[in-house]
Amino acid sequence: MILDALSVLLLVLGLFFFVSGLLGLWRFPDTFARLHALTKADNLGLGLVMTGLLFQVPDVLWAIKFVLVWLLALVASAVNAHLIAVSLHRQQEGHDESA
Amino acid sequence: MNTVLLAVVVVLALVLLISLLIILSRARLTDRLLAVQLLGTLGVAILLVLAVVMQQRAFLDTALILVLLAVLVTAVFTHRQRGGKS
Repeated sequence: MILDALSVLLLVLGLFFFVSGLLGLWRFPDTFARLHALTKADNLGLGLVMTGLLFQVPDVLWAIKFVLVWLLALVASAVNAHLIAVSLHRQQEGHDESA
Repeated sequence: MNTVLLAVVVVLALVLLISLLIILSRARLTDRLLAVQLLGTLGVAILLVLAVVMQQRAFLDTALILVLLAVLVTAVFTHRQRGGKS
């Protein structure tokens, strides 16, 4: 019962991060700021939802796989943010040189 | 507990719908890529919750593949952009 309560708490926290990331993506004026908001939502939202689900899994193998999914998502999100930031930086530099 | 998990799925699906609208409303490719990345993460989260609700381990494998494909989209697009520039 207390595990269920903990689970619900973590899931709600994760949803909060997802929704706030969405709001950031929707409202922030600059693309770099949007990237910042999105990365927080990705890492922390998915991490909290995954941790909340961790108390509901039937056996240990599931738990290991959940953590693996989250770790892979962390690496993917970091690579993604880096690629987008470098591409954006290069675009802006090119724009400044031509202007 | 399953009811709570299904409610979580519904909220995640709503967020996914709104981020699709964001993709439609943006003009720049980079902003669209950001929303696509959010789509990928939301899909993974939904798959994780559904795996627990339906007790199917196959959903976890799907989630792993979805993570990989979501980052590949960005890699391909930024690479193509750079190739076009230089």
